[in-house]
Amino acid sequence: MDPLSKLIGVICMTVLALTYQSALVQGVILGIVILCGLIYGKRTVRILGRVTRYLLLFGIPFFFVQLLWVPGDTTILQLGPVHLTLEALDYAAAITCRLFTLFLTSVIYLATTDPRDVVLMLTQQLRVPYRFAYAVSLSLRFLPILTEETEIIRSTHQLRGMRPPKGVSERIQAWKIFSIAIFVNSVRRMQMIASAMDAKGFGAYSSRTYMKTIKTTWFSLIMIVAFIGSTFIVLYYV
Amino acid sequence: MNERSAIQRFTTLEIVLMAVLAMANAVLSTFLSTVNQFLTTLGGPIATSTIVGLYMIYGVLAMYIIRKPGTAFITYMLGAIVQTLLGNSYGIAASLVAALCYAVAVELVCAIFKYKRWTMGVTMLLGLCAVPLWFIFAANMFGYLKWGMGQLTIAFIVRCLSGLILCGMLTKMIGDAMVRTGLLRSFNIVKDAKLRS
Repeated sequence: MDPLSKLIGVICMTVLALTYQSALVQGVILGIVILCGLIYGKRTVRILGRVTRYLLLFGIPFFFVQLLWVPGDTTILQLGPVHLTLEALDYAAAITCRLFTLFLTSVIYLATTDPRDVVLMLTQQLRVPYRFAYAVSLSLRFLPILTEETEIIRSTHQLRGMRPPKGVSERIQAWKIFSIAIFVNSVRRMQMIASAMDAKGFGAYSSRTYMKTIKTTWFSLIMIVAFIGSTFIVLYYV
Repeated sequence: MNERSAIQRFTTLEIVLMAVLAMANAVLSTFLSTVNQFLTTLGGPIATSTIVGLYMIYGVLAMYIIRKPGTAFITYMLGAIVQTLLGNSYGIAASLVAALCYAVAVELVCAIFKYKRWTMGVTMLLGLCAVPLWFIFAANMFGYLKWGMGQLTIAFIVRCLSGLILCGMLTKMIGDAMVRTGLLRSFNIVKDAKLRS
């Protein structure tokens, strides 16, 4: 499936997840999302397995915070001054499921989509001007470059005999020196990249050619109609 | 203004700066998500509201340096897309809606000042104004609406303070510190300073 149809699928799921406030409906939506992830293949299953721990680490405190903060009438458990109510339980479960749905739809989208295809989708299918769509690629390309430079700066500081900081003030000072070095290097790198792009005529024409093209196929169109249609049907009947 | 002229307003260097800030925000957000989890466990929704300002800083900083209409919008949208592609705990929809809310507020305030006034007061106002719109959407998305009026009001006030200090005040301080390094000569922030002096 092309990135645009999948994105529309994600948006439809998001709309549904944001519409309902009952734990049962949210549970069903989450179940459908997990099922989609499992159907997608081994890679997605592996990634889903990997993010589950993170999800629980994030979801469990969120669930309990909602459970304790949300007011309700039907008390199911009382521990001293703390009332746990049925309404709070339902709402906490619903909101936690909603968060899981929002997170997992993004994870599945990312697991099944090449970031370069997202950039191509922006320019070729959504008609975003390529100068800005290219900035997305640029950001993604900057990350490993800066990580590498950060390591170089750290090694350089060690070679110059900078000892590991002790105490809060030394740590702040060390962090300041470190971040200034990263900033200066980033700006220099930024100027070099911009000059190189200008020299190669980046942005000189309103359109450009691509090695790879993303086409909106009949299958994509059918999927888009199916996603939007089923969302409207659910919104109307449930 | 047609689309072409709006795009041509930005130089390649400015687009690269926006890309770098978007990337920096994605890295910061990954780090902040751990802090956020810790704060959620420690003090619930009010504690997490304290760091909200840090999520908005990159767009305001881009605007403070570039000072052209549309800067905040492009930077925030870039940030949302990059954040989504690198993976975040709130999902695609939350990232995009938050970015859109921040962008609308920042662009509106800057337009009121005609992109000409950049005092500490104005940057703090930018940080403050970026808070309410996203708070309304976030309240619906993440279920804050059921907390009760008391908690909701406290959380909103904490977010506003965070926007004022961690976004507005910090943007001005970081921006001015960047100018002092002498590396931002090609940007409006330095050109404006030269004109004033």
